[in-house]
Amino acid sequence: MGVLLTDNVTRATGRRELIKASLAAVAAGTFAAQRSMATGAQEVRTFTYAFKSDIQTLDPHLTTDTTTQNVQQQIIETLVKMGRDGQFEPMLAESWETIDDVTWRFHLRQGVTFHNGEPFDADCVTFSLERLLNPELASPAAPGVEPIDTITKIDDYTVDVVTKEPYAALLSAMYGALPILPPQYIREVGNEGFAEQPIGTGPFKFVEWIKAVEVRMEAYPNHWRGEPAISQLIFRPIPEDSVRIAALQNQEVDWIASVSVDRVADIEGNDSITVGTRPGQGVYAGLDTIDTEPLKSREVRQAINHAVNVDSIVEDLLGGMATRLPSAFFVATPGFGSIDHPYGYNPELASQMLADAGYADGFEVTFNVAPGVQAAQKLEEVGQAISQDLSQVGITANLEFVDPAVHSERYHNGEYQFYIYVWGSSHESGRHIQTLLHSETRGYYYRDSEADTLIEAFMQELDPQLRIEAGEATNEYLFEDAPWLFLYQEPDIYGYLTDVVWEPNQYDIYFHAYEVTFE
Amino acid sequence: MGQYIARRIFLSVFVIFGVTVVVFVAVRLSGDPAALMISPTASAEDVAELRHRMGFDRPLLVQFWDYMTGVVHGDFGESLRYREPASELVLDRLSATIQLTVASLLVAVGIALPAGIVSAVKRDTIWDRLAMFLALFGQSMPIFWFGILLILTVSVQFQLLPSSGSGGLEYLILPALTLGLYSTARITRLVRSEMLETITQDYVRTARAKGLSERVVLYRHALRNALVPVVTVVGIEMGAMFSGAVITETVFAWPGIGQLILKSIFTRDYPVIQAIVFTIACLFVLINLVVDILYALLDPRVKFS
Repeated sequence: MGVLLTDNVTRATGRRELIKASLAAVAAGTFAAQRSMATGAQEVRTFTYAFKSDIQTLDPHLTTDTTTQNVQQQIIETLVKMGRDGQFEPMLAESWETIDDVTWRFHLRQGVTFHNGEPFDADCVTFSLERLLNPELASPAAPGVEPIDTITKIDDYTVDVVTKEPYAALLSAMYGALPILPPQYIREVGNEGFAEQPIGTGPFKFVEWIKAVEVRMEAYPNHWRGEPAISQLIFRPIPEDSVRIAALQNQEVDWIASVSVDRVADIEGNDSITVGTRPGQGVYAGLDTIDTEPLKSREVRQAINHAVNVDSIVEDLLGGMATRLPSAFFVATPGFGSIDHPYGYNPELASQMLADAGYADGFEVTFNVAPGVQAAQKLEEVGQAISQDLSQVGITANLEFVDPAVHSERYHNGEYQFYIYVWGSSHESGRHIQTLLHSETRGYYYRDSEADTLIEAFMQELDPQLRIEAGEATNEYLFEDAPWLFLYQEPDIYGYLTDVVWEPNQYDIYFHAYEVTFE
Repeated sequence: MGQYIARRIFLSVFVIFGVTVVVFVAVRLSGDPAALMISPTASAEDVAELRHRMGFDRPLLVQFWDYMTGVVHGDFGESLRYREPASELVLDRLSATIQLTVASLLVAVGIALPAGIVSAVKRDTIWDRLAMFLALFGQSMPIFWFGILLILTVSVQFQLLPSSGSGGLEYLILPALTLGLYSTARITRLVRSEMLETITQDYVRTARAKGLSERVVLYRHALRNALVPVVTVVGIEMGAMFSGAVITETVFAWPGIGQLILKSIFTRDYPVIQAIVFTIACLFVLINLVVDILYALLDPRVKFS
């Protein structure tokens, strides 16, 4: 670890106070010197990114944790990448086209090398899929490529990806779930060797990972995009929120992630810090339309949407920084914009609708919330606000907090009546609609044949414009049928020093360090 | 004495075994990690399949037998989160926690001894009252709060030390002060009361009557005897520090087993939780044994039965 306990410290006598004072003075001197070195020289530009929790592994096939993937994708690339306009753009693939309903042809970039010089070509793509699906590896990320049937090499720089059914969100799956790994290298060093010393085609080369201390990378000068502005990239885990912010205020780090809404005020006034935000995880309150009698009625569900003051939750609990969702679609999901009139807060109307549906005296349900699940903010308070609002119209939502691990199990067992759920990944794919609301995927709480048909059309429509239309139709149907109490997307808030030139990408959860330049 | 030590070690095996059983059952009661590990797009079958692959659907006794046969060979299983041997993970981080704990103890004793002595010698003066007030403060203050307070003042406000992380000596100061806070307070009060007691003893009056200087009376005679129970308490405090280390390490991003066990509990990483608890249990037992032997060596009146 490199921490020294010198003889001075072990002499436990009255002189200790004097020694401590001089140690502090020396430390202050070296500390100040270190800082000026970090921000001074232009040639060696070190960028330190402080995040909440240390990564899980360096092998992208062994994780589904987005924090870990965020770090890995500096080193390892995919065929496509989400651009800043909501469209996918070329990465290791220069272009692509759909040959038929289920076949996508990708033309690969030439002249690309891995960090050890190994050339990138079609074999790497087929290898990567094979490895991901290899049962011996037991990859938890394998379900991410479930829609893919096969990948065939057409020639050295062309591959055909065939899906099991027409799948509109294939590019999402390629971006989120198929990192391209080096076959020769992995055959040489094995899976364990790769996990210890990973290489990829990315703009940064792996240097070292000291667990719970830092992940260190350096710029890859032969990257196909050219050398990035950052020469040394360091990821540092700092679990405690206020301490992470202190590190930014001290300029010990250049960038922090996961700033909570309560803390924005701490750094907003600071002239040397920029605050950036983008719509993050989607949060909604699911309703059990299968086993819970009152929730089987569409009118009751709509009434619930009218009874809860979601705008107030966004404004008062989430600092006005969350994005209210009128329906089930997220901001980046094709077809999102079609609903301009979310359920208005109207307790009288809600009571009326409940009475009309035969529940003039209200009813009782258990309302499960897992505070802190997927690091979502303020779920306890949101749950309480919802519960209070519902009690005003006669619905008794008995708030029951559960631990995130228990929550997952109970959710998958279909035990819930009314629950808060958080969805983090790949909003642009629409996959959350398919997974959460199609009767054949989860179907624990909602099964509707018309929704199924619309969702299938939405997920299988390859033409981009037609897909948006299919999305809008699905979005509107789900809005009417109200399988959920629609809530919001919580904000992803970042803080970074003002000499860092960068903006959050509204459509992409990943931070690409190569995009960073300095003033 | 050899017999005594052998007997103690023999009994410790049962203690450690008992701890292992309790933790093993307790973590499994709280839900399993399969649902936490799987990707968000997974179905209920995927979760069940992962659970089966990891062996969590087997009867508890079978799982336990499997685990114990591994432990006997030094194999604590593979971390579910990191996919590495749990024992390696723990050993990697253990030295950081021991460094922090030892530093905290040294800080604690280094402050508490002089403070306690001064308090006792200058009893009921402003120094005594101040020291006792600070001791009360130290024992009441949650270390979580105190640690963050130190960071906000010493590091952010006055820019004297780095706010978190590890590296050189400057990174160790604030965490050691934080983790040592409670022990400092407790030991100060103990030293004070022990000194007060010994100062009034006959042999001290005799020593003074013999014409020895106050300094010799205090240090050679009074303090030496006062220290005996203090040694015991220091040992106990060291064991208690492992629980405090969980919070301190998280606040200061100190890469020890405290932070690791907290993370493992949240992610239900059973093998790592079990390995860490096992390690701490062994350390506890070892520390208690050492303290008891030291106590006997220091106080000739104590005999091993």
